[in-house]
Amino acid sequence: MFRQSSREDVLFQPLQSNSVRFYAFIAILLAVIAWAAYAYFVQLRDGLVVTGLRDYVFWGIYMTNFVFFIGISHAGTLISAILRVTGAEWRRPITRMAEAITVFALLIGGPMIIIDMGRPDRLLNLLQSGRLQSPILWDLISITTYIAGSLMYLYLPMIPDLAECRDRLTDAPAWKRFIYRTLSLGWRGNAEQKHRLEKGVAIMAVLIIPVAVSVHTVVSWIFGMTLRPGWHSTIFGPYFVVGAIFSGIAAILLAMVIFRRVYRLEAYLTEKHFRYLGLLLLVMDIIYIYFTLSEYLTMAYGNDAADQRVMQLLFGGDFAPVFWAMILGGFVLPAFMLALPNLVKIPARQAAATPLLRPLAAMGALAVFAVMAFSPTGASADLQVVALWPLLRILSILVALAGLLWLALPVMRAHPIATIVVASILVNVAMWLKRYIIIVPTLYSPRVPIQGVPWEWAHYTPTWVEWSITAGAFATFILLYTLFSKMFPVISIWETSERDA
Amino acid sequence: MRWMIVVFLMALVILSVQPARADDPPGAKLFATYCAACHGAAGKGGAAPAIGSDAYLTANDNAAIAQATGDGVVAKGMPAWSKSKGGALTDDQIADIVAYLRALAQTTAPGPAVAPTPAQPARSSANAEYAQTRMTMTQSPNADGEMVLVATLEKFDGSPVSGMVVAFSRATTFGTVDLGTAKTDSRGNATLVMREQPERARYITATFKGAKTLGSSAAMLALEKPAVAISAGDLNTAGVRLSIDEEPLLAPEGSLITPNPPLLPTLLFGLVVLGVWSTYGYVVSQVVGIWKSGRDHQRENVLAPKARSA
Repeated sequence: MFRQSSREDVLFQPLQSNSVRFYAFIAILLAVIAWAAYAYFVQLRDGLVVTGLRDYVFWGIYMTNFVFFIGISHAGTLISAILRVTGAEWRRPITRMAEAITVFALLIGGPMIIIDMGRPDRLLNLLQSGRLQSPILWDLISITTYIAGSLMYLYLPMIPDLAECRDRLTDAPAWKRFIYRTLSLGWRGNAEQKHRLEKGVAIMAVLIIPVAVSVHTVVSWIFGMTLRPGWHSTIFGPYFVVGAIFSGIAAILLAMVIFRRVYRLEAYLTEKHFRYLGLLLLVMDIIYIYFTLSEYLTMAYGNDAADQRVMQLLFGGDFAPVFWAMILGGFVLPAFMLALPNLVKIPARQAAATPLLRPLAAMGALAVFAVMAFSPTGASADLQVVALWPLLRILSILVALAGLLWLALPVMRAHPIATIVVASILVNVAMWLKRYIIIVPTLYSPRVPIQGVPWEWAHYTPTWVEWSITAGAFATFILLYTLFSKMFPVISIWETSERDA
Repeated sequence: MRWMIVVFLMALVILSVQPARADDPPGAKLFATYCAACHGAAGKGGAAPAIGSDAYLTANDNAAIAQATGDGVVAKGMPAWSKSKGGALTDDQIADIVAYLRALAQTTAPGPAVAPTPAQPARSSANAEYAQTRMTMTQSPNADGEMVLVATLEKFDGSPVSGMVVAFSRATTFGTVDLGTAKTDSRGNATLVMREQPERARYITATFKGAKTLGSSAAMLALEKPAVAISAGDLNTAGVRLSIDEEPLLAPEGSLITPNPPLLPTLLFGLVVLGVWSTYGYVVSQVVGIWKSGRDHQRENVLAPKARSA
């Protein structure tokens, strides 16, 4: 134990002292949250008319946030549980962070539904007159089950560490000591307690996997069980689950790199952890690209009129910039960033010749801008011509990407962690956009259009209220996560020392 | 949930209320606005009885219809529409609706002859030659197998009205399809050849919107379906028809989306949820066990097994 103590001091450091920077950070987060609270007050006072939500698009970025947060909640439990069940030893420093993401993401994601409602009090209708046939009720049941389960799964492995805090942080404020004392349940580490804890953790690790899968499947069914174009798809269940794990891994990677830097956890979170998780991210990315291709190819092939409208909106219409940014910047680019440094060995002399490649990359980028600039605006132009433009754009963007990647390869090899983290930022942004792309274009093209609606009712632009509340949601998530890390060790002490002992 | 309400309202607006066109007779517009949501487009029936049917219109005279409209049928959930009863319609408007219904099914009211409704003479600005019109509609196939619709417009005394524009339309679930217009000839006949053979929504309406000295009238008929023989070489395809089910397909009783969920899936669902939560309960019992064990330790004043660095 003593051998560990100096190493473990790093883990207790954040719990014992707060820097000025920490308070400033909290103040900024609180300011954002206060502004969001004001925005929500405006929405409650004036109604949903202050948002961009109208007759056609009744789900906007609120529901995007909902699906996004439920998605990254899979970071957590699912990944940590899978790694625990499969006995992946390298998981040990990561699990706690992942499990905490799950709990807080669920606490933020769930209420987004209530915020999306003009009359939040009507949530009670779901309890009073909910219909078991409705995926909305399934959602309520599965998310409640998941929150309860993930709280337990976060708490159980924390008990020995809470006892450690209780015994070690004797000079902490009284309220903190009270929390440690109460939550550690009189843990002494005796045989019976250890036995019961291991049994509890083992059961939860197995149980939480199907529960987590069910949660995101049910979220997808809220869409999939409708007859709307782009939603009514059998692939939606697995598509959402894979997407959730995908964005979940990216979220853990971000949390890891931030804690590593801020709390100086280099001894615990080594390059190996980033590399392993980076490979998992790559695998999920490739599966996700495959699912995406399968989904859109099926839609395009069917030639259903409503489906075609959605496809047109995505591939060449209003949503094309977001769509292609997501596909190329959020799925394809990260895949190359994660794979190339492992695949391509650049000889030293070629690395030295990098300056020669710079013009190539620059030309590629120029080509992108040229094609973007001269492309016809509006998809109402002659379809024959328009159909070529996306293709040209994709080709030129691919050329530019290839040039930039070739240029960046030595840099990426030199900074593997930074590369993985940049990829996971791209993935997180893309997965948020993906949820937006799933929700809004479908609502633009109903099977039964309302006749003679004003333009604004059939189009959607998020208002300042929605953006403010979204910012507030992210700020609240970061705040809760930060406070958690100041209250409890973010790395499981007993599990990491158990390994070393 | 808000979206469910929105979807429901959208569906209600789109599916139930047939949009009235600007040149419809006043009764038609009023009917579309106030009655069609329950009684269906052109009174074909919906949540409430089919008051556009011959059966209803032969059994009830105008006064009875007007009274039912004004007073409502409270026991069956129909509100009172008369202004005097707190509704939205004046007596003149109710009379317009009655006239519209009457014209729809081309029935004459039983009992005493109908007095001209007060609203329409008022509109004719004291012109003594004002006359009510009525319309009848017939259909017959022509040599090409197309249905020919003839709408005959005449005054109540039986004299044909010529040179007037009759508009033909077909009400579908998603709105009214205009089929075109025709002028009445010297015998009062306006003729339309149906170029299409709709499989569903085959009710054709002919509407005369009225003129300065002529009241409006309308008639409706259900398009007959001539057997379509498709010539396809040597194959005997007589009687082969392309068709879609008449009614919208309803969920079979006992399937997942019917009002009462089937027992077995419900039980399975409940069992799974119960199983998960019972397992949670077991894990919580382990947590309680940890707590009890810790408490016993303290009570027996047993020291922690390891020296702590604190």
